Amino acid sequence: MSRLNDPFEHDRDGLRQVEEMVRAARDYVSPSDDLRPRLLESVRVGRRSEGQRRLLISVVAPALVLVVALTNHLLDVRQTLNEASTRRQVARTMSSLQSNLGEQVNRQYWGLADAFFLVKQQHAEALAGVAGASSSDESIDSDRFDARAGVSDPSE
Amino acid sequence: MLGSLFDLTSQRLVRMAIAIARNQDDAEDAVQTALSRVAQNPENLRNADKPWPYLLRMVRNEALAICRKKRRWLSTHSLSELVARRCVSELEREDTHRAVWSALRSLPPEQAEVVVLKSWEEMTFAEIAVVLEISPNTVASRYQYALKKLATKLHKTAEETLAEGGRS
Repeated sequence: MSRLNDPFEHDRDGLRQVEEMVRAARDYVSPSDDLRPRLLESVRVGRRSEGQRRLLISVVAPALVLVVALTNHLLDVRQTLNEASTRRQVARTMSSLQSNLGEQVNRQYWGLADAFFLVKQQHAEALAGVAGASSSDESIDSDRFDARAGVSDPSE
Repeated sequence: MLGSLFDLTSQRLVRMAIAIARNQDDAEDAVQTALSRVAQNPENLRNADKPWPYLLRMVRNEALAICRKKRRWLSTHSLSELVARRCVSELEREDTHRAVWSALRSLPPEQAEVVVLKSWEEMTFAEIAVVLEISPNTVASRYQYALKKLATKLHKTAEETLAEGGRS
């Protein structure tokens, strides 16, 4: 207490005295008695929780992986079966389409052929009519048109 | 192992934490959290270049985190909450110690921690700079300012004590 009575000046001696007082008060405070058991208990509880978490992970994770793998496998099998039946169905459809298409094409083809021959026939009849009319007319040059050959003068 | 570490270091860690946290409950929470972390990952402390500054820094960071959460920068607390050892033969010096602690806790935390490390941990400015991650010059200037403030505060306390004694 006597030290506190001396006036402190901000000089080297004064500050040295303050340092000594601070050093002397070092052990004035100590940790409370329950800090040590509190600390050890908190660490013990923390380790127990961590152990439980690790156990959960070590059991649940592999189980999850197994379930996911099994599900994927079952889905693959189902997909394969679906694909096979789909392929069969498509093949059937294609073959029926092809056969229908073939008939349609045949019909169209012969239809075109029929139309072509009809036009040719009409031309031939037209030409035959013209040839008959021109045989009585003296102004027509018979070299320019050969009714039998059916060839017309290229210059016309 | 943790118990041994606690027995070796707890008092020093708690008084360091009190200088920052300003009250013993928060200081002990900071010490408990830091030592729990050490228990979870002991290799961090084992592999540190300087384990003691590393541990001091851990406690300091925890105390600062608690302060930030509770925003007790400016408040001071009565010394009655401090768990003080009272030796019969040293009762006459108890007033001085109490005054010192009160003055210390009135300092800004960044100055109080420098005083603690210099006076109680007997570290050099360079070693303190490593713990606090600041330059040695900054440590030195903070220490000087802190001592002057402590001197002023302790002088005022002495005058008040004298005045009270005079009245009674």
